[in-house]
This record gives sequence, C-alpha cells and structure tokens, in this order.
Amino acid sequence: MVPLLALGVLVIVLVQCVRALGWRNGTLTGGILASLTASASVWLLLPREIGEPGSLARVPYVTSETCFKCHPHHYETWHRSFHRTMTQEATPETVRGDFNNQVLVVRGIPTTLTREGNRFYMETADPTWARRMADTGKPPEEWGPAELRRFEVVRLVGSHWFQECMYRDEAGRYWRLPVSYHIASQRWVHTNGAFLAPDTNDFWEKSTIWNESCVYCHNTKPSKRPTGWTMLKGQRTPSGYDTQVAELGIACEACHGPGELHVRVNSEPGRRFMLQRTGRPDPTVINPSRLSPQRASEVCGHCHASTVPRASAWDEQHTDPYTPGDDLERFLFVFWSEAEQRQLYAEQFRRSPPPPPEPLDGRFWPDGTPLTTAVEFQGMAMSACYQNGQGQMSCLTCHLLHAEDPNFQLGKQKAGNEACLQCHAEYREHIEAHTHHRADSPGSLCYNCHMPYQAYSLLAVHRTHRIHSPLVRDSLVSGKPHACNLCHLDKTLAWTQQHLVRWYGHQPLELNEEQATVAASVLHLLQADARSRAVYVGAYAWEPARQASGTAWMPPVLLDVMARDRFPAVRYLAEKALATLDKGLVRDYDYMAGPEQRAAQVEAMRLRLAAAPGLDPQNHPTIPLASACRLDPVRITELLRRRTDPDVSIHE
Amino acid sequence: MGWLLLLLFLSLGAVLETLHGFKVGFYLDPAHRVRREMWTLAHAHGTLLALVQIAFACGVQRFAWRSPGRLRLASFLLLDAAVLLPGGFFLGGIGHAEGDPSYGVLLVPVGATLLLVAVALIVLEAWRSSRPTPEAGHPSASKESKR
Repeated sequence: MVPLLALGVLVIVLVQCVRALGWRNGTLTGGILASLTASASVWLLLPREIGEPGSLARVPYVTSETCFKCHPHHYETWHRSFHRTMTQEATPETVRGDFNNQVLVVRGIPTTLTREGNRFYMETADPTWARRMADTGKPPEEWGPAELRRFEVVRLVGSHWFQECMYRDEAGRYWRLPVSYHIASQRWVHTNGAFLAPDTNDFWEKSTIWNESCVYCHNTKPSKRPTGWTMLKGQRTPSGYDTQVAELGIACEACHGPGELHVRVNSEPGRRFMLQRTGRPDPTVINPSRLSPQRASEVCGHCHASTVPRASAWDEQHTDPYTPGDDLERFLFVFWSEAEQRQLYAEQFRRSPPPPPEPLDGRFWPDGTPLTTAVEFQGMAMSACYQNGQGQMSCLTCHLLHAEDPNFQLGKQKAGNEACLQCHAEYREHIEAHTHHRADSPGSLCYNCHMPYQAYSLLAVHRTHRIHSPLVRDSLVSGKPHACNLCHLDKTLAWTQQHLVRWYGHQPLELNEEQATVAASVLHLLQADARSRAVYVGAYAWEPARQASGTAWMPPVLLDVMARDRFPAVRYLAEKALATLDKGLVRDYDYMAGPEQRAAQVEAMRLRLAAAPGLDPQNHPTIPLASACRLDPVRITELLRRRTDPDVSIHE
Repeated sequence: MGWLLLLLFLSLGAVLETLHGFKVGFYLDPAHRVRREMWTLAHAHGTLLALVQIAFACGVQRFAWRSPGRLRLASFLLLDAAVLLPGGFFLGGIGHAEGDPSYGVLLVPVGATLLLVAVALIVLEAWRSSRPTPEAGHPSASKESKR
C-alpha cells in the first residue's frame, strides 16, 4: 500500500516537472527529485537482518531512562508501579513516613524520626546496648534509660505496604533499622511486629543486611560483591560489600533483559519499520508475553518464587546470572519447603550439617501451598490450570504488568470472574448452579473459593496463588483455613462439610466434637499455630466475611486474641478488625506492649463493651461466649488445652 | 487551492479540539501519544502551508518571473508539499507503534524535499528580481533577454 502511494506521488511530481519545465528539463529535474526520494524510501524499506533469538546474558544494561525514549507509555505504567519504587534512595520525594520529630515508643524504648533539610534520621536504641540488655533476659520495660544512637536513613525498601529504612555502615552494608513506616495504616511500627514472629526482647532482631538477600529481588541485575570475609558462627561470612545494581528497584530490564543491543540496533529506523511491518518479535529484547507460559512465568518466578542459588552457576562477585527468557532452574533451585531450602543451601555452599529444622515451616503450609507472598510462582505451579507449564496458563493470563492500576497489576476485567471464565466459559451462564450463591454475591466470585486469602505477609492477608478446590480434607491435613470458613467465620467445619457433600458430592470425613460444635475460625484462633491464626484473624476485617457472618459476636473473640496471642502481628490484625467495628474502642491499645500491659488495656476495653447493649450468647451457639465482652472461660480453658503454638517466623 | 487547504486543515484543528473536548481515548490515551503528536503536526503543517500557498498566490505578481516554467513548478511543488507533509503526519498517526509513527510518515520527507525545492526556486527568483533589469545594463539580464 505504502510503496504504491509513494510511487504515485513520484509519478505526479515527474508529470508536474514535465508540464512546468518542458520534456527535457522536466524529465531531468523530476527524475532527480524522484530518484532522491525513491532511493531514500527504498533504503528504509529494504529487508534487514533481524536475527534469531539467543541469550542476552552478555549484553550491557542501559536503565529505564533509555527505554522511555521509544516506549513512553510502557515507561509511564511502570513508573507508577510499586516495582519501580521497591528500592530507592531516601529523598524528600521518596520518603513516605513522617520524619517531623515523630516519636514511637515500643516497650519503653523511644525511637525519634527527624529531618534536617533533605536528610532523614532515626534515633533509636543502640544495637550493642540493646543486644546486651536482651541477653540479661529482662523485658525491655525493665532495661532502664535507653542508650540511643542516631542513624541517617539513606535507602528505602518498599513503597506499597511498608517502607523500610536503612542506614549504611563504613563497610558498605545497608542495615534495616528497627522501625518501619506502615503505609496502609500511615504509622510507624516496629519491625519485630511487622513480620509474623513471636514476641522477643531483642529490639534489633529483624535487622538484616540488605546486601545479603534483599538486593536480589528488589533491584535490577544485582551484584553482591563482597569486599572481605570473616568467620561468624563457624561460617565464612562477608565483612563488607561494594554492592552494585544496574538500577535500583525493579526496572524495565529486570523483565525484558538487558537493553544495550536492542537500543543500538533499533536506532536505525529501517529496522524498526521492518519489525513493525512484519510483526516479527525482536530477538534483541525479551517480551514475556511472547515466551512460552513456563518461561514467561519464570520471569516473574525469578523473584516471586522461593529459591536457592545453584552455586556452580554463580560467579565470585555473586552477580545474579539469570537473564529473562532463560531457564530459571539453570541458576536457581526452586524449593517447596524450608527443610528442602536448608538442605539445598547446605549442599550448595558446603555448610554441613544443614541447620536444624524450625518447628514450623514459615513459607509453606504442610500440603505445599505457599503460606506467604513472594512465593506466588510455586502456588501457581501447583495449580491444575498451570499443567506444569505445558498448558496455556501463565502469570500473564491474569496479570498485566503495564496495567493502569498499579495495585495487583491485574489485566482488564481480571479482577472478577472474567479471569477464570476466559478458560472455564461453561460457568458463564450457570454460575449460581455451580456456586449455590447469588450470582452478584461474593460467594459467586471464583477467587473467593478457589484462591482464598490463605497467605500472610506484611501485616495483611493475601490471596493464595494456588488455584484449587476447597476440600475439608486439605484443611484437616494442613491446618490451612478452609475457604468457606474464611467467609462464614461463625460456622463450623462440619457445617462446611455438610454443604460440600450436598452440593458437590464430596466424601464426608470424620470430624471431632469441637469441629462439629465450635466455629472453625474461633477454634483455630484458640488451638492452631500462628500461621492459621494470622490468616483467620485477617478475615475478621474482610467485608464479605463480616456480611456473611455478622459482627455482633466478634469483639469478645478479637479481645481474647489481643490479650492472649504471643505473636504481635496476630494481635495487630485483631486490633485492625476490631477497629473496623469501633475505632474509638482500640484507641489506647498497643499491640507491641508486654503481656501485663496488654491485659490491662483489653480489660478496659471489655468494661467499655459491657456497658453497651448486650449480646445474647444463645444466638451464637458456635461461639463459646460468656457475655458481650468475654468468652466462656471454662470452655476456653478446655479448648486451649489442645493448643499447638510452636515458634514460627514468616520473613515476608 | 490555498484557501481550500486552509479550510481543510482548520477543520482538522476543530476536529482535534472536539476530540479533546470529549476526551476521546483513541486520541488522548497515553498509549496513543504518537497519534496525538502526529495529528497535531498534521494540523499545524497543513494550516501553515495553506497560508504559504495564499501568500505565494498574492506575491507571485511581485516577482519578475523570467521563467514561467519555474513559476509553475514552484506552484506545483508547494501544493504537493501542502498535501504530502500534513498527509504524511496524519497517516503516520494511524496504526502507529508505541514509539514510532506508521509507514504513512514516509510521505513527510518526500513533501519536505519538494517544499525545499519550491522555496529554493522562489528564493532564487526573488534574488533575481531584486537585481537590475537588462534595460538598466545588467549583464545577466541582457544574456537572459537574448535567449
């Protein structure tokens, strides 16, 4: 079409020249003009060698500012994403927390956040003093006046849920400071309570080194670069770093591969026109949507999977060897339990014997379902829909990394049932027959049953990425909260089973007396480990669950958690749920406080609740209530006797 | 023809304003930044070249055109440029890639070349008309008149 149009133009120009200047001069002038323009056009349209796809591993990185020149829209959608802001230098533009002389007192130790011009400071307990005091075994409230030290906050990690603050020591190590900004609640919080872990007296317990592990998933093409080594607890450990990254945060080249070659060859317009004309993929860059479902998912899995480095594939500088489009498992082992992680790590880095296993896995439920975020790849890989990467499903089936809305980065209409109906179209017209819930109700949203909120991280519960049918058997075996009971919080597991048998023909399993008489959520909050408790208590703030279950009976249950639980993150989630019922009630509650202080705070809340219109326990037979503000102490003691509450840590 | 082109490209400007007014996605969405830029250029170049056409028509009598052929050629080429340049920009905004206009934009350099030649012809003629006539004893003028 275009060549024809150009030819037409040239003929017209030639004719005009002849008409204007006569046959001889016109032909000459027109011929020169036509030749000039024709040769330029032909040069642009000449076929180019596009090349074949190959590894981009040795190509240099160019950073996102270069990508912007030709891909402004993709740059903009990335620029407003939380991937970009995963790691940033601390500047007035990037800092989310309030550094205007804010003071956070945690168990008697003050942390002060201040700003001087464009520099940010955190004054908090001196780490050496705090560790020494923790070793005394006394609780922090009895440590006396704190020895404080002032740190300059130079780097930030996170911008969606949390923003962690880091200072840099003289050895190039970036340390996570003990207080972070919780963006969701817009307040400063202590990191000991931000991760799911039991109460501790170690004020700096969660202070890890960014160069050690955070750097890998929160930046583009990182290279750890240890500068010296020391022996720590019998292990050879880096004593300093000169860590380098292609770009801070997760930038264009983290998913599309290094861009130098792509930029260089496409500075020639003819090549770009040829690619546009033929629609051929450009082998100088990776477009995950053109990769196979497995390779495309591995681009995400590079960070959204739990992995251990394959030592033989890494250099001495510990430069991440993975390039998008590569087979991920050439460089990283994907593991499916923390026990496997410890084993792999010991094998790869010659650390024997492997560290003893923790009492509970902090990343996976016992059936292998991921328990936390950043392990979504494994969740999807366990799903029947993924078909071991041989089917059509990949992360990009639902997610669009250049979506307009940076939250969850879902494709158009993929926040609803369209995500599933694109393959399971048979349910489109008969959704109620399948779900037994009204079509416009949360019970008919595929996600709520097949991807329920079974994962915990960063003081919030998240949807699991294992797409599966909710089976009572899975809950019994793994302790994983059942999807039905995450919405019907006041119903028993027996009630759930009864419906699943009737509606879907499931085989009934034998349940004990408690599972038949006590609401599953309450039973878990009293008896299960902290993982189940976190997930269940998170559901108490979920609006569809509150509509399905009613809220009148919730305060005594939540108050019990707020007083009793030894995991601050669980207490925080209980406080959050109670605040949605009565914000004023929780005003004086401190989920980080010691047990006695918390007990007093909760008792004060109970007294205030007792003054309110009463709640009739008879109306809630599955909840062991004594009154409107208190659970039945006899029943609770009985149930608590079978409580299993080992230590567990979720480091996400 | 100049007035006709002016009408055409002013109308295009009105259409673009309307697209702005109704916040039409295929023109204003960030993904169509190239289209917006190309069509704005089409409107601007078209209007400007239409005005050049009119100015040329008004001024043509002021030049002592010694070659009617060059006059016709300049006129033809100006007209071609007034169609090809904005036309190329307009087509470049249809079916474009994210960072590049579509093939239609190839008409722009063709139009630009023709415009340059046309303007060169006019400048040449203006320069020649500013020189003394053969009657005033200019050697080149007498040479031209002998032909």
